Amino acid sequence: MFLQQLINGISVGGIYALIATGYALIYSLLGFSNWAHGEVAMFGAYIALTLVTRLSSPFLGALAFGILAAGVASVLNEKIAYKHIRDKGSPTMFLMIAAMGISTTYQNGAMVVFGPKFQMFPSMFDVTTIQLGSVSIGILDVISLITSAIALILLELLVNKSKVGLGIRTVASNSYTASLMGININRYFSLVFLIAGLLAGSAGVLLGLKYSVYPTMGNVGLKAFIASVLGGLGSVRGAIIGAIIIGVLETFVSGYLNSGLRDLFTFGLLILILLIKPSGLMGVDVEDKA
Amino acid sequence: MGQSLLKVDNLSAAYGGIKALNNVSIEIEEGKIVSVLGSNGAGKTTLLKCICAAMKPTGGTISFRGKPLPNKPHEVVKAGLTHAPEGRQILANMTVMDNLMVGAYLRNDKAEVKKDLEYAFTLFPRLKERQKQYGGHLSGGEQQMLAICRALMAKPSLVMLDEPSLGLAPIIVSQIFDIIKELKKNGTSILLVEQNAYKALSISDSAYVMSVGSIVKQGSAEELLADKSLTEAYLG
Repeated sequence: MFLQQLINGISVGGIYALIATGYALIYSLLGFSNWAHGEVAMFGAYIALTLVTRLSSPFLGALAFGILAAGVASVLNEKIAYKHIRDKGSPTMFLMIAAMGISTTYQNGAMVVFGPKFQMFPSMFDVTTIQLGSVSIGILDVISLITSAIALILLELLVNKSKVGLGIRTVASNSYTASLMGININRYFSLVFLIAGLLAGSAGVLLGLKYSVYPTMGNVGLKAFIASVLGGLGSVRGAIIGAIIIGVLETFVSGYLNSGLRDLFTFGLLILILLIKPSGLMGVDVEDKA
Repeated sequence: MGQSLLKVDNLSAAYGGIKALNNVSIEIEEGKIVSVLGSNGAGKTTLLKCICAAMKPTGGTISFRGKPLPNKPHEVVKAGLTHAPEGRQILANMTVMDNLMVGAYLRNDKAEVKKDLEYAFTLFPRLKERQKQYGGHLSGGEQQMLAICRALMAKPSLVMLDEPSLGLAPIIVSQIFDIIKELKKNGTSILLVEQNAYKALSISDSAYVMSVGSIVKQGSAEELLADKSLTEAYLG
């Protein structure tokens, strides 16, 4: 039982991590909380679902297209809204408010276009389980665990070992210096929104497969935000650790206590970390958490 | 007369409505060290910011090797002009090595970059010892060395140094000025902005003196050193 819960928790945490890392990347570059990030995940899930159910597209192709659509949506958010605010030299608070507006637009847009109902993907794997000794794990949990692990490892390698990653870290550290070193910072902003969008899209599709697709499913972005604060805002590695802690905590609370208490524990953990170590577990020192 | 490298013509700039540069013209020839001197608020840093395109001038032209200089910072670097900016702007949460590699960001000749890195380490042995440390953990003098070294990693034809002596102990300042002389020997042209006029003139070929946004004097280093009025106003 314990081991099974633990694996489920890590699997859920992995999905949170896909959102939280993109969130952390954007925060580290632009210094604002992108509240529309969860909605990008929702958008990807709806695109994949529509392709599967309405247009009966091949299953994996539809999922891939949904992920891609989320990446594009994320870049468009940046190009249409955030870039203009930045170019005007407005305070980062304006970016956060714009993000809230975008988030509401996506949610209401989804409500109008797809309707308020919870919708399911046609069942593909959820009945199948893998038996390992006394532990039985849903095949979907295994797939989701492997997918997030691969995506997160690739992200780590990209950020820390490649030249593109050196550019990302430089822009995150000081975008003025980055431009003086010959780095085209606007290209990096777009790139990071693309990466974050693709990761969020993957999370959206996985959540859609595991649970269901609905207009406010992007609220999972809040969990990612907490994961990111827990791990240290702006730190990619911290976001992964924070997300897994929250995933495991939620699964254990649901499994051993009561699933209604889940959010109580998650938010309680947020308050606790803000009291004890506001910069987060792996945090670089940041002043405001707008 | 050597080949003209950078030519700034009648450049003006303002912060909001407040004029910071007023028809400033300077010229730098290939292989020379040219200083821009003046007290605080004279507009020296603003001049550099306009050249490296971090700030938009309100008038005038800047040309580099006879062609207009691009107006985006990353394209200026591509053209061959780099900048060790005011306040050093070290990437504090990245290692010394990362800082240097970012300097070489636009280069794809890995072997050459490695050779230049070795050369940089012979100029600044301290940086070699500290290559794995975070930029933010270096002392002021080491950070200044890192800023200069990083600006050189792009292999520029002209490097602009904004007050390399600021806040440093005299012995470190002397070391840094020796290195600037060394760079000139290797064919890099240098635009040096300094408050420490005497020190700057001692290594410069020529210099401009700025006051409240305008060039008030120009000439060869010897002429300016011999100029009594200048000595009184700026060399104290």
